[in-house]
Amino acid sequence: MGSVHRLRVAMAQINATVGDFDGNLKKIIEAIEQARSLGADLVTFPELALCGYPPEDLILKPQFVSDNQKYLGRVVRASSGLSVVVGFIDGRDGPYNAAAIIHDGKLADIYHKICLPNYGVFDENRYFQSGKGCPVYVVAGVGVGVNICEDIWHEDGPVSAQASSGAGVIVNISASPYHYGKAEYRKKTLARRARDNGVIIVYNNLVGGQDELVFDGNSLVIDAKGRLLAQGRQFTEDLVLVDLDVEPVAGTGGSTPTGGREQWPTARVVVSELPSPKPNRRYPGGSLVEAMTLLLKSITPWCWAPATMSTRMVLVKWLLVSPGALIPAW
Amino acid sequence: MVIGLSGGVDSSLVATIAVDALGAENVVAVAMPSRYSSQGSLSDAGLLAQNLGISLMNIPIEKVFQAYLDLLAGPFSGIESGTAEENIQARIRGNLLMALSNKFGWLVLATGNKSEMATGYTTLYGDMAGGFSVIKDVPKTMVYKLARYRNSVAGMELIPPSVLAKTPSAELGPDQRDTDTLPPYELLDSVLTAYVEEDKSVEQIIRQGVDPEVVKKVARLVDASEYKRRQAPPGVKITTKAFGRDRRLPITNKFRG
Repeated sequence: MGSVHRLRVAMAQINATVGDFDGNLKKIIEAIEQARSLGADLVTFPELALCGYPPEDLILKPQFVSDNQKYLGRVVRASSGLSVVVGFIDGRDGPYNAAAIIHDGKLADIYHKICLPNYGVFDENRYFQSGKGCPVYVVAGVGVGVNICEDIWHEDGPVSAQASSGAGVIVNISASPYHYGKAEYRKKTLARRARDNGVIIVYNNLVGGQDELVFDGNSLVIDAKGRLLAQGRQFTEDLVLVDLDVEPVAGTGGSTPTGGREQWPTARVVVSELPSPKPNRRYPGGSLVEAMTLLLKSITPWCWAPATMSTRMVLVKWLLVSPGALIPAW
Repeated sequence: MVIGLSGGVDSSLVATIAVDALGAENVVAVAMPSRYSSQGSLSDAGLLAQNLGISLMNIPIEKVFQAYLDLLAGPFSGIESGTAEENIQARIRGNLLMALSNKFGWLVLATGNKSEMATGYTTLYGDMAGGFSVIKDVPKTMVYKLARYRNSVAGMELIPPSVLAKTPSAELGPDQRDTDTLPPYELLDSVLTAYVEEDKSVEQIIRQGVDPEVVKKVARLVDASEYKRRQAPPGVKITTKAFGRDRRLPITNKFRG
Protein backbone atom coordinates (compact mmCIF):
# COMPACT_ATOMS: atom_id res chain seq x y z
CA MET A 1 0.00 0.00 0.00
CA GLY A 2 1.45 3.32 -1.11
CA SER A 3 1.15 6.59 0.73
CA VAL A 4 -2.47 7.55 1.08
CA HIS A 5 -3.59 10.84 -0.41
CA ARG A 6 -6.11 12.95 1.36
CA LEU A 7 -8.70 14.49 -0.94
CA ARG A 8 -10.81 17.20 0.62
CA VAL A 9 -14.16 17.40 -1.15
CA ALA A 10 -16.87 20.01 -0.74
CA MET A 11 -20.30 18.97 -2.02
CA ALA A 12 -22.41 22.03 -2.79
CA GLN A 13 -26.05 21.01 -2.54
CA ILE A 14 -27.53 24.12 -4.12
CA ASN A 15 -31.04 25.18 -5.08
CA ALA A 16 -30.51 26.01 -8.75
CA THR A 17 -33.43 27.58 -10.61
CA VAL A 18 -34.21 26.74 -14.24
CA GLY A 19 -33.10 29.57 -16.51
CA ASP A 20 -31.67 31.75 -13.75
CA PHE A 21 -28.10 31.85 -15.02
CA ASP A 22 -27.17 34.87 -12.91
CA GLY A 23 -28.65 33.43 -9.72
CA ASN A 24 -27.17 29.99 -10.27
CA LEU A 25 -23.75 31.41 -11.14
CA LYS A 26 -23.83 33.47 -7.95
CA LYS A 27 -24.56 30.39 -5.83
CA ILE A 28 -21.85 28.42 -7.65
CA ILE A 29 -19.20 31.10 -7.23
CA GLU A 30 -20.08 31.64 -3.57
CA ALA A 31 -19.75 27.91 -2.91
CA ILE A 32 -16.42 27.78 -4.77
CA GLU A 33 -15.12 30.63 -2.63
CA GLN A 34 -16.33 28.97 0.53
CA ALA A 35 -14.83 25.62 -0.50
CA ARG A 36 -11.53 27.34 -1.26
CA SER A 37 -11.45 29.00 2.14
CA LEU A 38 -12.06 25.57 3.70
CA GLY A 39 -9.08 24.14 1.83
CA ALA A 40 -11.06 21.85 -0.48
CA ASP A 41 -9.24 20.19 -3.37
CA LEU A 42 -12.51 19.62 -5.20
CA VAL A 43 -15.92 21.25 -5.07
CA THR A 44 -18.87 19.55 -6.76
CA PHE A 45 -22.31 20.76 -7.86
CA PRO A 46 -25.53 19.02 -8.94
CA GLU A 47 -26.52 17.92 -12.43
CA LEU A 48 -27.20 20.89 -14.77
CA ALA A 49 -26.55 23.21 -11.83
CA LEU A 50 -25.72 26.05 -14.18
CA CYS A 51 -29.04 26.09 -16.06
CA GLY A 52 -31.32 24.29 -13.56
CA TYR A 53 -33.04 20.91 -13.92
CA PRO A 54 -35.11 19.91 -15.83
CA PRO A 55 -34.93 22.68 -18.43
CA GLU A 56 -37.24 20.68 -20.75
CA ASP A 57 -37.79 22.32 -24.16
CA LEU A 58 -35.65 25.32 -23.24
CA ILE A 59 -32.89 23.00 -24.45
CA LEU A 60 -34.35 23.34 -27.95
CA LYS A 61 -33.66 27.09 -27.85
CA PRO A 62 -30.13 27.69 -29.18
CA GLN A 63 -29.88 30.89 -27.14
CA PHE A 64 -30.50 28.99 -23.90
CA VAL A 65 -27.71 26.54 -24.64
CA SER A 66 -25.25 29.22 -25.74
CA ASP A 67 -26.00 31.36 -22.67
CA ASN A 68 -25.35 28.35 -20.46
CA GLN A 69 -21.96 27.85 -22.13
CA LYS A 70 -21.12 31.51 -21.73
CA TYR A 71 -21.80 31.25 -17.98
CA LEU A 72 -19.63 28.15 -17.77
CA GLY A 73 -16.75 30.40 -18.82
CA ARG A 74 -17.40 32.52 -15.74
CA VAL A 75 -17.27 29.46 -13.50
CA VAL A 76 -13.94 28.51 -15.08
CA ARG A 77 -12.56 31.97 -14.36
CA ALA A 78 -13.66 31.73 -10.71
CA SER A 79 -11.90 28.40 -10.10
CA SER A 80 -8.38 29.44 -9.17
CA GLY A 81 -6.61 27.12 -6.78
CA LEU A 82 -9.01 24.16 -6.81
CA SER A 83 -10.94 21.71 -8.98
CA VAL A 84 -14.64 22.05 -9.78
CA VAL A 85 -17.20 19.61 -11.19
CA VAL A 86 -20.33 21.39 -12.37
CA GLY A 87 -23.30 20.30 -14.47
CA PHE A 88 -24.15 22.17 -17.70
CA ILE A 89 -25.43 21.57 -21.23
CA ASP A 90 -22.70 20.90 -23.75
CA GLY A 91 -24.23 22.10 -27.02
CA ARG A 92 -21.34 21.15 -29.27
CA ASP A 93 -22.35 18.21 -31.49
CA GLY A 94 -24.95 17.37 -28.88
CA PRO A 95 -26.54 18.59 -26.90
CA TYR A 96 -25.15 16.54 -24.05
CA ASN A 97 -26.08 16.49 -20.39
CA ALA A 98 -22.56 17.29 -19.25
CA ALA A 99 -20.20 17.81 -16.34
CA ALA A 100 -17.36 20.28 -16.71
CA ILE A 101 -14.17 19.27 -14.95
CA ILE A 102 -12.37 22.49 -14.19
CA HIS A 103 -9.07 23.15 -12.46
CA ASP A 104 -7.39 26.38 -11.49
CA GLY A 105 -8.85 28.61 -14.16
CA LYS A 106 -8.86 26.02 -16.94
CA LEU A 107 -11.47 23.68 -18.36
CA ALA A 108 -9.72 20.32 -18.03
CA ASP A 109 -12.35 18.10 -19.64
CA ILE A 110 -16.06 17.54 -20.23
CA TYR A 111 -17.89 14.35 -19.29
CA HIS A 112 -21.07 13.45 -21.18
CA LYS A 113 -23.85 11.55 -19.38
CA ILE A 114 -24.07 8.05 -20.80
CA CYS A 115 -27.26 6.59 -19.34
CA LEU A 116 -30.16 8.88 -20.22
CA PRO A 117 -33.32 8.23 -18.18
CA ASN A 118 -36.47 8.12 -20.25
CA TYR A 119 -39.00 6.72 -17.80
CA GLY A 120 -41.32 8.20 -15.17
CA VAL A 121 -40.89 11.96 -15.14
CA PHE A 122 -37.73 11.81 -17.29
CA ASP A 123 -37.48 12.56 -20.99
CA GLU A 124 -33.78 12.83 -21.60
CA ASN A 125 -33.72 10.97 -24.92
CA ARG A 126 -35.88 13.78 -26.24
CA TYR A 127 -33.06 16.23 -25.67
CA PHE A 128 -29.66 14.70 -25.25
CA GLN A 129 -27.13 12.57 -27.05
CA SER A 130 -25.56 9.80 -25.02
CA GLY A 131 -21.91 10.09 -23.96
CA LYS A 132 -19.35 7.72 -25.38
CA GLY A 133 -16.53 7.65 -22.85
CA CYS A 134 -15.94 7.69 -19.14
CA PRO A 135 -12.45 8.85 -18.27
CA VAL A 136 -10.78 8.67 -14.90
CA TYR A 137 -9.60 12.08 -13.77
CA VAL A 138 -6.52 12.47 -11.64
CA VAL A 139 -7.41 15.10 -9.06
CA ALA A 140 -4.75 15.89 -6.45
CA GLY A 141 -3.15 12.55 -7.26
CA VAL A 142 -6.38 10.59 -6.74
CA GLY A 143 -8.34 8.74 -9.45
CA VAL A 144 -11.81 10.28 -9.71
CA GLY A 145 -14.56 8.98 -11.97
CA VAL A 146 -17.14 11.63 -12.74
CA ASN A 147 -20.59 10.60 -13.90
CA ILE A 148 -24.12 11.96 -13.89
CA CYS A 149 -27.29 10.85 -12.07
CA GLU A 150 -28.72 7.84 -13.98
CA ASP A 151 -25.17 6.64 -14.78
CA ILE A 152 -24.80 5.39 -11.21
CA TRP A 153 -28.03 3.38 -11.06
CA HIS A 154 -26.80 0.80 -13.57
CA GLU A 155 -24.77 -2.06 -12.19
CA ASP A 156 -22.66 -2.41 -15.32
CA GLY A 157 -22.65 1.31 -16.00
CA PRO A 158 -19.84 3.86 -15.94
CA VAL A 159 -19.03 3.23 -12.26
CA SER A 160 -17.68 -0.25 -12.87
CA ALA A 161 -15.74 0.92 -15.94
CA GLN A 162 -14.21 3.80 -14.00
CA ALA A 163 -13.49 1.69 -10.91
CA SER A 164 -11.74 -0.99 -12.94
CA SER A 165 -9.66 1.73 -14.59
CA GLY A 166 -8.24 3.15 -11.40
CA ALA A 167 -10.91 5.42 -9.92
CA GLY A 168 -10.92 5.30 -6.13
CA VAL A 169 -13.60 7.96 -5.88
CA ILE A 170 -16.78 8.31 -7.92
CA VAL A 171 -18.32 11.78 -8.09
CA ASN A 172 -21.92 11.51 -9.23
CA ILE A 173 -23.69 14.79 -9.83
CA SER A 174 -27.41 14.29 -9.66
CA ALA A 175 -30.90 15.76 -9.90
CA SER A 176 -32.96 13.04 -8.28
CA PRO A 177 -36.53 13.98 -7.47
CA TYR A 178 -38.27 13.10 -4.25
CA HIS A 179 -40.91 10.49 -3.82
CA TYR A 180 -42.07 8.79 -0.68
CA GLY A 181 -39.34 6.36 0.45
CA LYS A 182 -36.77 7.42 -2.16
CA ALA A 183 -34.05 8.55 0.25
CA GLU A 184 -33.71 5.08 1.76
CA TYR A 185 -33.70 3.47 -1.66
CA ARG A 186 -30.86 5.73 -2.79
CA LYS A 187 -28.81 5.05 0.30
CA LYS A 188 -29.18 1.30 -0.06
CA THR A 189 -28.43 1.20 -3.77
CA LEU A 190 -25.43 3.51 -3.55
CA ALA A 191 -23.98 1.56 -0.62
CA ARG A 192 -24.17 -1.59 -2.73
CA ARG A 193 -22.59 0.18 -5.71
CA ALA A 194 -19.72 1.44 -3.52
CA ARG A 195 -19.12 -1.99 -1.99
CA ASP A 196 -19.33 -3.88 -5.28
CA ASN A 197 -16.80 -1.60 -6.94
CA GLY A 198 -14.60 -0.80 -3.93
CA VAL A 199 -14.99 2.94 -4.47
CA ILE A 200 -15.94 5.94 -2.37
CA ILE A 201 -19.09 7.55 -3.75
CA VAL A 202 -19.66 11.29 -3.57
CA TYR A 203 -23.30 11.72 -4.57
CA ASN A 204 -24.22 15.38 -4.98
CA ASN A 205 -27.97 15.85 -5.35
CA LEU A 206 -29.91 18.97 -6.25
CA VAL A 207 -32.26 20.64 -3.81
CA GLY A 208 -35.35 22.74 -4.44
CA GLY A 209 -38.73 22.67 -6.15
CA GLN A 210 -39.29 22.78 -9.90
CA ASP A 211 -42.87 22.67 -11.18
CA GLU A 212 -44.17 19.32 -9.96
CA LEU A 213 -40.86 17.95 -8.74
CA VAL A 214 -39.10 18.37 -5.44
CA PHE A 215 -35.38 17.68 -5.30
CA ASP A 216 -34.79 16.69 -1.71
CA GLY A 217 -31.05 17.10 -1.33
CA ASN A 218 -29.90 14.25 0.92
CA SER A 219 -26.52 14.22 -0.83
CA LEU A 220 -24.40 11.30 0.31
CA VAL A 221 -20.79 10.32 0.81
CA ILE A 222 -20.36 6.57 1.13
CA ASP A 223 -17.09 4.76 1.74
CA ALA A 224 -15.78 1.77 -0.18
CA LYS A 225 -17.33 -0.59 2.36
CA GLY A 226 -20.77 0.94 1.86
CA ARG A 227 -20.78 2.94 5.10
CA LEU A 228 -22.34 6.38 5.22
CA LEU A 229 -19.69 9.03 5.84
CA ALA A 230 -21.69 12.20 5.40
CA GLN A 231 -25.12 13.33 4.36
CA GLY A 232 -26.46 16.64 3.12
CA ARG A 233 -29.54 18.08 4.72
CA GLN A 234 -33.01 17.25 3.46
CA PHE A 235 -35.01 19.92 1.61
CA THR A 236 -32.49 22.70 2.18
CA GLU A 237 -29.20 23.91 0.75
CA ASP A 238 -26.03 22.61 2.27
CA LEU A 239 -22.29 22.45 1.82
CA VAL A 240 -20.89 19.13 2.95
CA LEU A 241 -17.16 18.92 3.55
CA VAL A 242 -15.34 15.59 3.80
CA ASP A 243 -11.77 14.42 3.79
CA LEU A 244 -11.28 11.21 1.85
CA ASP A 245 -8.14 9.14 2.34
CA VAL A 246 -7.53 7.40 -0.95
CA GLU A 247 -4.63 5.47 -2.39
CA PRO A 248 -2.99 7.36 -5.26
CA VAL A 249 -4.11 6.34 -8.69
CA ALA A 250 -1.94 3.55 -10.04
CA GLY A 251 -0.71 2.75 -13.56
CA THR A 252 -1.09 4.89 -16.61
CA GLY A 253 -4.75 4.21 -17.23
CA GLY A 254 -6.43 4.22 -20.56
CA SER A 255 -6.60 0.45 -20.54
CA THR A 256 -9.44 -1.42 -22.13
CA PRO A 257 -11.79 -2.19 -19.30
CA THR A 258 -12.30 -5.81 -18.39
CA GLY A 259 -15.34 -7.58 -17.06
CA GLY A 260 -18.95 -6.43 -17.05
CA ARG A 261 -20.66 -5.07 -20.13
CA GLU A 262 -18.92 -1.73 -20.11
CA GLN A 263 -17.73 -0.65 -23.51
CA TRP A 264 -16.70 2.93 -23.01
CA PRO A 265 -13.11 4.06 -23.33
CA THR A 266 -11.70 5.10 -19.97
CA ALA A 267 -8.85 7.42 -20.81
CA ARG A 268 -6.79 8.85 -17.95
CA VAL A 269 -6.98 12.65 -17.78
CA VAL A 270 -4.69 14.47 -15.40
CA VAL A 271 -6.52 17.39 -13.81
CA SER A 272 -4.12 18.12 -10.96
CA GLU A 273 -1.25 16.02 -9.68
CA LEU A 274 -0.32 17.16 -6.22
CA PRO A 275 -2.62 17.46 -3.28
CA SER A 276 -3.04 21.13 -2.51
CA PRO A 277 -1.72 22.20 0.88
CA LYS A 278 -4.46 22.21 3.51
CA PRO A 279 -4.69 24.76 6.27
CA ASN A 280 -3.96 23.24 9.63
CA ARG A 281 -7.21 24.01 11.37
CA ARG A 282 -10.31 22.43 12.79
CA TYR A 283 -13.84 22.86 11.49
CA PRO A 284 -17.11 22.59 13.32
CA GLY A 285 -18.69 19.07 13.13
CA GLY A 286 -27.26 15.97 9.09
CA SER A 287 -40.98 13.95 5.18
CA LEU A 288 -43.73 14.70 3.01
CA VAL A 289 -44.94 17.95 4.48
CA GLU A 290 -41.44 19.34 4.03
CA ALA A 291 -41.42 18.38 0.35
CA MET A 292 -44.68 20.12 -0.31
CA THR A 293 -43.61 23.12 1.73
CA LEU A 294 -40.44 23.40 -0.31
CA LEU A 295 -42.28 23.36 -3.60
CA LEU A 296 -44.74 25.94 -2.36
CA LYS A 297 -41.81 28.14 -1.45
CA SER A 298 -40.23 27.65 -4.84
CA ILE A 299 -43.26 28.91 -6.73
CA THR A 300 -43.77 31.94 -4.54
CA PRO A 301 -40.53 33.86 -4.66
CA TRP A 302 -42.37 37.04 -3.73
CA CYS A 303 -43.14 35.51 -0.36
CA TRP A 304 -39.82 33.93 0.33
CA ALA A 305 -36.29 35.24 0.51
CA PRO A 306 -33.90 32.45 -0.49
CA ALA A 307 -31.31 31.49 2.08
CA THR A 308 -28.28 33.70 1.72
CA MET A 309 -24.78 32.35 1.56
CA SER A 310 -24.10 33.60 5.05
CA THR A 311 -27.03 31.51 6.26
CA ARG A 312 -25.64 28.53 4.47
CA MET A 313 -22.29 29.06 6.14
CA VAL A 314 -24.02 27.92 9.28
CA LEU A 315 -24.96 24.71 7.51
CA VAL A 316 -21.39 23.72 6.77
CA LYS A 317 -20.88 20.43 8.42
CA TRP A 318 -17.97 18.60 9.73
CA LEU A 319 -19.14 15.08 10.28
CA LEU A 320 -16.96 13.02 12.54
CA VAL A 321 -17.88 9.42 12.10
CA SER A 322 -16.96 6.18 13.79
CA PRO A 323 -13.27 5.34 14.25
CA GLY A 324 -11.76 3.65 11.24
CA ALA A 325 -13.84 5.65 8.81
CA LEU A 326 -12.13 7.83 6.28
CA ILE A 327 -12.71 11.13 8.00
CA PRO A 328 -9.84 11.67 10.40
CA ALA A 329 -10.38 12.96 13.89
CA TRP A 330 -8.04 15.96 13.88
CA MET B 1 -52.15 32.43 -1.10
CA VAL B 2 -55.87 31.96 -0.88
CA ILE B 3 -57.60 28.73 0.08
CA GLY B 4 -61.25 27.79 0.19
CA LEU B 5 -61.65 26.35 3.68
CA SER B 6 -64.56 23.91 3.93
CA GLY B 7 -63.87 22.48 7.35
CA GLY B 8 -62.88 19.18 5.73
CA VAL B 9 -59.55 17.44 6.14
CA ASP B 10 -58.16 18.25 2.67
CA SER B 11 -58.46 22.03 2.83
CA SER B 12 -57.40 21.95 6.50
CA LEU B 13 -54.17 20.15 5.61
CA VAL B 14 -53.48 22.42 2.62
CA ALA B 15 -54.00 25.54 4.75
CA THR B 16 -51.64 24.14 7.38
CA ILE B 17 -48.95 23.36 4.79
CA ALA B 18 -49.36 26.84 3.27
CA VAL B 19 -48.87 28.47 6.66
CA ASP B 20 -45.81 26.29 7.34
CA ALA B 21 -44.34 27.28 3.98
CA LEU B 22 -45.16 30.98 3.83
CA GLY B 23 -46.22 32.16 7.25
CA ALA B 24 -49.71 32.99 8.50
CA GLU B 25 -49.49 36.54 7.17
CA ASN B 26 -49.33 35.24 3.58
CA VAL B 27 -52.32 32.91 3.73
CA VAL B 28 -55.97 33.89 3.51
CA ALA B 29 -58.79 31.41 4.00
CA VAL B 30 -62.28 31.80 2.63
CA ALA B 31 -65.36 30.00 3.92
CA MET B 32 -68.11 29.86 1.30
CA PRO B 33 -71.00 28.05 2.92
CA SER B 34 -74.05 26.92 1.01
CA ARG B 35 -77.39 25.56 2.25
CA TYR B 36 -75.74 22.13 2.50
CA SER B 37 -72.77 23.17 4.63
CA SER B 38 -73.01 21.74 8.12
CA GLN B 39 -72.65 23.91 11.21
CA GLY B 40 -69.84 21.62 12.32
CA SER B 41 -67.86 22.29 9.14
CA LEU B 42 -68.21 26.04 9.53
CA SER B 43 -67.09 26.01 13.14
CA ASP B 44 -64.20 23.67 12.25
CA ALA B 45 -63.04 26.07 9.54
CA GLY B 46 -63.20 28.94 12.05
CA LEU B 47 -61.29 26.98 14.68
CA LEU B 48 -58.57 25.95 12.22
CA ALA B 49 -58.12 29.54 10.98
CA GLN B 50 -57.82 30.63 14.60
CA ASN B 51 -55.27 27.88 15.39
CA LEU B 52 -53.20 28.83 12.34
CA GLY B 53 -53.52 32.57 12.96
CA ILE B 54 -54.83 33.23 9.45
CA SER B 55 -57.67 35.54 8.48
CA LEU B 56 -60.90 33.89 7.41
CA MET B 57 -63.31 35.61 5.05
CA ASN B 58 -66.88 34.45 5.10
CA ILE B 59 -68.68 34.68 1.76
CA PRO B 60 -71.95 32.73 1.83
CA ILE B 61 -72.93 31.59 -1.67
CA GLU B 62 -76.64 31.05 -1.08
CA LYS B 63 -77.83 34.12 -3.02
CA VAL B 64 -75.67 33.36 -6.04
CA PHE B 65 -76.59 29.68 -5.94
CA GLN B 66 -80.28 30.56 -5.88
CA ALA B 67 -79.77 32.97 -8.77
CA TYR B 68 -78.21 30.12 -10.81
CA LEU B 69 -81.08 27.78 -9.96
CA ASP B 70 -83.60 30.46 -10.97
CA LEU B 71 -81.73 31.13 -14.20
CA LEU B 72 -81.64 27.45 -15.08
CA ALA B 73 -85.16 26.70 -13.85
CA GLY B 74 -86.46 26.72 -17.44
CA PRO B 75 -83.93 24.41 -19.07
CA PHE B 76 -83.76 22.16 -15.97
CA SER B 77 -87.52 21.95 -15.42
CA GLY B 78 -88.86 18.48 -14.83
CA ILE B 79 -85.39 17.00 -14.29
CA GLU B 80 -84.43 15.79 -10.85
CA SER B 81 -81.78 17.80 -9.04
CA GLY B 82 -78.35 16.14 -9.16
CA THR B 83 -74.71 16.54 -10.10
CA ALA B 84 -75.32 19.71 -12.13
CA GLU B 85 -76.77 21.53 -9.13
CA GLU B 86 -74.05 20.15 -6.86
CA ASN B 87 -71.28 21.31 -9.15
CA ILE B 88 -72.74 24.79 -9.54
CA GLN B 89 -71.85 25.35 -5.89
CA ALA B 90 -68.27 24.19 -6.41
CA ARG B 91 -67.99 26.44 -9.49
CA ILE B 92 -69.34 29.49 -7.65
CA ARG B 93 -66.62 28.92 -5.07
CA GLY B 94 -63.93 28.49 -7.73
CA ASN B 95 -65.15 31.68 -9.35
CA LEU B 96 -65.00 33.64 -6.09
CA LEU B 97 -61.50 32.40 -5.31
CA MET B 98 -60.33 33.43 -8.77
CA ALA B 99 -61.92 36.87 -8.27
CA LEU B 100 -59.95 37.30 -5.05
CA SER B 101 -56.86 36.05 -6.86
CA ASN B 102 -57.24 38.67 -9.60
CA LYS B 103 -58.04 41.49 -7.22
CA PHE B 104 -55.28 40.91 -4.69
CA GLY B 105 -52.69 38.92 -6.63
CA TRP B 106 -53.14 35.83 -4.47
CA LEU B 107 -52.39 32.37 -5.77
CA VAL B 108 -55.35 30.00 -5.42
CA LEU B 109 -54.39 26.68 -3.87
CA ALA B 110 -56.57 23.82 -5.03
CA THR B 111 -57.23 21.29 -2.29
CA GLY B 112 -58.09 18.04 -4.11
CA ASN B 113 -56.35 14.82 -3.09
CA LYS B 114 -55.11 11.95 -5.26
CA SER B 115 -58.09 9.68 -4.57
CA GLU B 116 -60.37 12.41 -5.93
CA MET B 117 -58.13 13.22 -8.88
CA ALA B 118 -57.99 9.53 -9.72
CA THR B 119 -61.73 8.92 -9.69
CA GLY B 120 -62.79 12.33 -10.98
CA TYR B 121 -64.63 13.00 -7.72
CA THR B 122 -63.86 16.66 -8.15
CA THR B 123 -65.44 19.53 -10.08
CA LEU B 124 -63.76 20.86 -13.19
CA TYR B 125 -63.61 24.70 -12.94
CA GLY B 126 -64.86 24.28 -9.38
CA ASP B 127 -62.67 22.87 -6.63
CA MET B 128 -60.17 22.03 -9.39
CA ALA B 129 -59.67 25.75 -10.08
CA GLY B 130 -56.38 27.14 -8.89
CA GLY B 131 -52.75 27.81 -9.63
CA PHE B 132 -51.26 25.00 -7.61
CA SER B 133 -52.66 21.76 -6.28
CA VAL B 134 -50.65 20.95 -3.17
CA ILE B 135 -51.93 17.47 -2.26
CA LYS B 136 -53.01 16.20 -5.68
CA ASP B 137 -50.59 13.26 -5.35
CA VAL B 138 -51.53 12.43 -1.77
CA PRO B 139 -54.15 9.67 -1.41
CA LYS B 140 -56.96 10.40 1.04
CA THR B 141 -55.77 7.83 3.58
CA MET B 142 -52.38 9.53 3.56
CA VAL B 143 -54.05 12.93 3.96
CA TYR B 144 -55.38 11.73 7.33
CA LYS B 145 -51.96 10.38 8.31
CA LEU B 146 -50.29 13.68 7.41
CA ALA B 147 -52.89 15.68 9.32
CA ARG B 148 -52.32 13.53 12.41
CA TYR B 149 -48.57 13.76 11.93
CA ARG B 150 -48.76 17.55 11.73
CA ASN B 151 -50.80 17.67 14.92
CA SER B 152 -48.28 15.45 16.67
CA VAL B 153 -45.43 17.75 15.59
CA ALA B 154 -47.39 20.75 16.86
CA GLY B 155 -48.02 18.98 20.16
CA MET B 156 -51.59 20.25 19.96
CA GLU B 157 -54.77 19.74 17.99
CA LEU B 158 -53.86 22.25 15.31
CA ILE B 159 -56.28 20.58 12.91
CA PRO B 160 -59.38 20.09 15.09
CA PRO B 161 -60.10 16.46 16.03
CA SER B 162 -63.65 16.81 14.69
CA VAL B 163 -62.16 17.42 11.20
CA LEU B 164 -60.36 14.08 11.46
CA ALA B 165 -63.31 12.25 12.98
CA LYS B 166 -66.15 13.34 10.70
CA THR B 167 -67.43 11.23 7.81
CA PRO B 168 -65.98 12.60 4.54
CA SER B 169 -68.57 14.60 2.61
CA ALA B 170 -68.47 17.08 -0.27
CA GLU B 171 -71.50 18.78 1.32
CA LEU B 172 -72.94 19.66 -2.07
CA GLY B 173 -76.26 17.90 -1.49
CA PRO B 174 -78.50 16.97 1.44
CA ASP B 175 -76.90 14.40 3.81
CA GLN B 176 -74.29 13.62 1.19
CA ARG B 177 -71.35 11.32 1.90
CA ASP B 178 -68.35 10.46 -0.26
CA THR B 179 -69.27 6.78 0.12
CA ASP B 180 -72.54 7.45 -1.74
CA THR B 181 -70.35 7.61 -4.85
CA LEU B 182 -67.06 6.00 -3.93
CA PRO B 183 -65.96 2.88 -2.06
CA PRO B 184 -64.63 3.54 1.47
CA TYR B 185 -61.22 5.29 1.16
CA GLU B 186 -59.17 2.43 2.68
CA LEU B 187 -60.50 0.14 -0.03
CA LEU B 188 -60.42 2.76 -2.77
CA ASP B 189 -56.81 3.71 -2.10
CA SER B 190 -55.67 0.10 -2.15
CA VAL B 191 -57.33 -0.41 -5.55
CA LEU B 192 -55.89 2.88 -6.84
CA THR B 193 -52.39 1.94 -5.75
CA ALA B 194 -52.67 -1.32 -7.69
CA TYR B 195 -54.36 0.17 -10.76
CA VAL B 196 -52.58 3.51 -11.07
CA GLU B 197 -49.19 3.16 -9.39
CA GLU B 198 -48.54 -0.51 -10.12
CA ASP B 199 -50.33 -0.69 -13.51
CA LYS B 200 -52.08 -3.90 -12.48
CA SER B 201 -54.99 -5.14 -14.58
CA VAL B 202 -58.57 -5.29 -13.37
CA GLU B 203 -58.29 -9.09 -13.37
CA GLN B 204 -55.12 -9.06 -11.28
CA ILE B 205 -56.70 -6.80 -8.68
CA ILE B 206 -59.80 -8.99 -8.51
CA ARG B 207 -57.53 -12.00 -7.96
CA GLN B 208 -56.08 -10.17 -4.94
CA GLY B 209 -59.49 -10.64 -3.36
CA VAL B 210 -61.17 -7.28 -4.02
CA ASP B 211 -64.88 -7.22 -4.93
CA PRO B 212 -64.99 -7.40 -8.76
CA GLU B 213 -67.69 -4.73 -8.96
CA VAL B 214 -65.57 -2.31 -6.92
CA VAL B 215 -62.49 -2.89 -9.06
CA LYS B 216 -64.39 -2.45 -12.33
CA LYS B 217 -66.10 0.68 -11.10
CA VAL B 218 -62.87 2.27 -9.84
CA ALA B 219 -61.02 1.41 -13.06
CA ARG B 220 -63.84 2.93 -15.12
CA LEU B 221 -63.82 6.09 -13.02
CA VAL B 222 -60.03 6.44 -13.35
CA ASP B 223 -60.07 5.97 -17.14
CA ALA B 224 -63.03 8.30 -17.68
CA SER B 225 -61.42 11.09 -15.66
CA GLU B 226 -58.32 11.44 -17.79
CA TYR B 227 -59.81 14.51 -19.54
CA LYS B 228 -60.30 16.19 -16.19
CA ARG B 229 -56.81 15.50 -14.95
CA ARG B 230 -55.31 17.04 -18.10
CA GLN B 231 -56.91 20.31 -17.03
CA ALA B 232 -55.80 20.18 -13.41
CA PRO B 233 -53.28 22.59 -11.86
CA PRO B 234 -49.78 21.23 -11.23
CA GLY B 235 -48.91 19.77 -7.85
CA VAL B 236 -46.08 18.04 -5.99
CA LYS B 237 -45.03 14.51 -6.90
CA ILE B 238 -45.19 12.49 -3.70
CA THR B 239 -45.81 8.88 -4.70
CA THR B 240 -43.86 6.63 -7.04
CA LYS B 241 -46.31 7.50 -9.82
CA ALA B 242 -48.00 10.89 -9.91
CA PHE B 243 -50.62 11.91 -12.46
CA GLY B 244 -49.07 14.05 -15.17
CA ARG B 245 -45.54 13.52 -16.51
CA ASP B 246 -45.26 10.30 -14.54
CA ARG B 247 -48.37 8.67 -16.00
CA ARG B 248 -49.29 9.59 -19.54
CA LEU B 249 -52.49 7.93 -20.67
CA PRO B 250 -54.65 8.75 -23.65
CA ILE B 251 -57.95 10.55 -23.14
CA THR B 252 -59.42 8.69 -26.11
CA ASN B 253 -59.12 5.15 -24.86
CA LYS B 254 -61.28 2.08 -25.39
CA PHE B 255 -58.96 -0.29 -23.55
CA ARG B 256 -60.65 -1.93 -20.57
CA GLY B 257 -58.32 -4.08 -18.57
